[in-house]
Amino acid sequence: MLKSKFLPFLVAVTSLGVITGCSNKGETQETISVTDMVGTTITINKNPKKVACVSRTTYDLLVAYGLGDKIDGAYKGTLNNDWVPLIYPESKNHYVYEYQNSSELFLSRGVDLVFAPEKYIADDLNAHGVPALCVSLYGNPTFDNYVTFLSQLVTKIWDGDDIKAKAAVWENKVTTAISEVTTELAKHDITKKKVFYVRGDKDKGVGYTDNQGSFTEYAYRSLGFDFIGASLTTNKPSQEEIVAQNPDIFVCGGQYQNKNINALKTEEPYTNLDAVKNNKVYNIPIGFTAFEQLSAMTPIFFYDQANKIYPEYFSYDISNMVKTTIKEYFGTDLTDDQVSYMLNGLNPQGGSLY
Amino acid sequence: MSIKTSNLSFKYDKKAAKPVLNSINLNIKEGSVNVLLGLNGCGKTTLIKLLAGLEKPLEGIIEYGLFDLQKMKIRERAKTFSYVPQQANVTNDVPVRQYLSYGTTNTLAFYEHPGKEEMELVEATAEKLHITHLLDKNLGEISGGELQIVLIACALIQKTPVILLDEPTSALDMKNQNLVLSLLKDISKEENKTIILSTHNPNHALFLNANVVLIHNGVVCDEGPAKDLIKVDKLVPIYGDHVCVSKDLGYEEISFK
Amino acid sequence: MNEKVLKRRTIISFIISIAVFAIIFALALMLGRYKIGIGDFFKAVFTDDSSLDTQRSIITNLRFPRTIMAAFVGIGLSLSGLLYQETFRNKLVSPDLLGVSTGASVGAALAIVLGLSSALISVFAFVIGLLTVFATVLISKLFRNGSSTILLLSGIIVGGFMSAILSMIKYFSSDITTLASITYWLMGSFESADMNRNYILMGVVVVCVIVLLLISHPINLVNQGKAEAQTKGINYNFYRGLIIVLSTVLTAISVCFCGTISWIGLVIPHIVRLLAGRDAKRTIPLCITFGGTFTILVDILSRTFTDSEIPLSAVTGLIGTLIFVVILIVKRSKLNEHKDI
Repeated sequence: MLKSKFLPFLVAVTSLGVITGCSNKGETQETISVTDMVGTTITINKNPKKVACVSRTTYDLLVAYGLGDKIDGAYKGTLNNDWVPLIYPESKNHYVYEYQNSSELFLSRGVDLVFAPEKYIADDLNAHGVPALCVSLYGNPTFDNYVTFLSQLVTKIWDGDDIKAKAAVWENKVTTAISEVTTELAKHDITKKKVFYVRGDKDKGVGYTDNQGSFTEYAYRSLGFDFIGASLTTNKPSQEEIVAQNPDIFVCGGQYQNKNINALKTEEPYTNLDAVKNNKVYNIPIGFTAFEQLSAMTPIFFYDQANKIYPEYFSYDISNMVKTTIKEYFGTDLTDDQVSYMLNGLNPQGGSLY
Repeated sequence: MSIKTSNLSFKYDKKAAKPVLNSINLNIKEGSVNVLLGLNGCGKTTLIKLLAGLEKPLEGIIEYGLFDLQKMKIRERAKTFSYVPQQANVTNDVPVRQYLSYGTTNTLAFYEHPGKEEMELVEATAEKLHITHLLDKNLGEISGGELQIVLIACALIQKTPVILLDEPTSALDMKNQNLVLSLLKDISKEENKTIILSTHNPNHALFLNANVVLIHNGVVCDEGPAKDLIKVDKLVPIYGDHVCVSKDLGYEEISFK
Repeated sequence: MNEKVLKRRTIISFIISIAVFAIIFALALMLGRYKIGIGDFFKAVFTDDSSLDTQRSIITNLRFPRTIMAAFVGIGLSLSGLLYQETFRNKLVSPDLLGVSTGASVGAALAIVLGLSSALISVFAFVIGLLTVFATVLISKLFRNGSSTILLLSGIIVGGFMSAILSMIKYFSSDITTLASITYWLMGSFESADMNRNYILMGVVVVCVIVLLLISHPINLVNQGKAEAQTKGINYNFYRGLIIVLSTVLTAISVCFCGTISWIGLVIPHIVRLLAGRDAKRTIPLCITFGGTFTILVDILSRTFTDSEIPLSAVTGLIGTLIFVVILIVKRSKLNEHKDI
């Protein structure tokens, strides 16, 4: 009696053990111990096949280095960009992630690595069995030491000489761009200019910027500017504060850049500012990623800003650089018109991005 | 003008089986002092409230002279009936003087405030009732007895021909009870006002030499002058067998053995 | 309290508060993140000197509209608080008693999630704020008891319901943008002040104030309760209804333009009553001057000392709670004697 019930049970347990054992055999996963951008060290499997790029700086370089097929999905803000499906059509297959996603979602999708934008998100995922590395948008105290962090991280996690080669080329191009521009500027006697960066990635108007620790702060400081956001306590200065700071130049990024440029040129109290009167209000192009974010286009960002702000010393052929780089990294050909739209903060059809 | 009620009935809860007041017929003469006498819960407070217009009758009408009370506007009614509640739910930090000035509302337009004339009336009335020393105190600072007199003063200031009082002495000690009742007696003599008050104490009716309406279980049991009605045999059906007369104080007083 | 003393205190307080109001108003135009010297200030305001265009622009386009808005919002919320406290005979109630602020918050949150313009956010806030109070009154009628307690209870129920709806909206607006926008709106700001909004705000507040001054005597009687008011000749239901409508409109019009600002409606009436006693003909004018001055001061504090604006509710919360403690200390002896503030 007891035996007849016990036997099927024994069979079931043994089968389970065999099945589990079987799945554990097979490929031995190579692992690697990596430290993320906030200093947390975890061990992950090398060559992950399904990466979730929730941190917005990670999608671009991964695709650029040829790892697009290893991506499961990206943050909706990254994918919600008219240029993305044009430049990289495969992005349509990528899952659209929220800023905060449950561990269950990642596990159900079989994600084996998450690039998280903040430490607490990465910690939470790791605690629930989802490997996560924090790739923050901000460096502590500044972004100076983190410019090549992601690039180096990618080469560690994925094997492949081509990836390493691409990373080396990119890193070299970034350093070259900065040194070229700064060397030229050093030749001339230029007073330090104050730049106010209008983020424009959300509809928050002109009074929305970045503070110390951001890539933009590092970038403009490297170009010899006084980045106003570095001295502010928050990223939302009041209108009076902006006027009191009296920037020499405004640089406007994000999808709402043209809306903000229009606001600067037509609304009080900005219309009275010298920068506006002298027409020193510039677009920061948006391509696959906004140029002022860490991306494949970062070297071109430096050249582009140099061109716009110091036309008397620089005249790089930005259009050509953009075409070449996009072809090189993403395999897409852009027309002259499209490049022109891109450089003016418009969508591929020349219309508004918001 | 006299006050007449015909077939007056009332229920607080419309679904209740038994009405709180059932077919009350009263005829109250002008200038008289009337006492509604009965035990707690007999309906006398409800009757006062109906007369004051604070509740609507279920059936029947109340007439003041030829006027149907139900059809009277609130302001008209305030010029006719003043109401002194049993437990005044007044705001504590309003000065007595200010509160008394509210009694003049029935003569003012809605956008008017009591002016010099009205305040003089307040002062005069306070003097008459010997409460001038209370005028600058807050309502919360005076004693229960003093408050009751203030409420009566307010009713006087309203200059209404009828004053309704709901158990004006229930919350007072004996000294203050005597004070208030004497005051009411004086008012009825000097001002020819119709006074209707409810009480559970038969001695009050005797003291005031009032017309008594005996109410029991929502119905009028008996009616008549106090000297005829305040007798043991008339009161036993309501107050029970222990009712008796005490002659110690020189006049007949109803007491309990 | 001696009538003469109260009257004198009221008149003196009123005159002083008008003077202080004028001074604070001028200060609000002079102070800000952008420093303007006194000489430059007067030149910018009274001359056409083009070298002071920036200063003039800041004074007329930024500081002036928001100072006007602050003044009128302060007046609206203070009066609303006073009226609710008098009508419900409870000195601890605030303008959100019947749910108008919570309702307006739901309206604004909905509009923000739908991505609507700033003007429509205000419209949604105003309309849903009013509808919420309407719902409160309707529910109170279900109980068939006209007492103020039932109205208060309905306000708690409906307010609680709207609060839950607000939580749901916040939850579903999982995008970092809208949630942050909603939170920021809820904390209160005069940033979006412009003269078009101000004309509407001023119009509504002025009309309500005129009506309130006209009915200040009936308000005193409504405060005494239904039995008292009715028997002295005041149509209690009518006036209470009118008072609720006016208070609700005053609160809704304030909240719809600048978000929820707490403590003003609670604290200002207490300060005013300390000085003027409990007569609406005195407390209403003082609420106007004190409320306006206080809120302008709050605005100055929120925008002058930091590079980004401190949310208004944070400032009113800090100052308001301190003032409240001071009031309780002043009334300490009275508290102990009568166990009632």
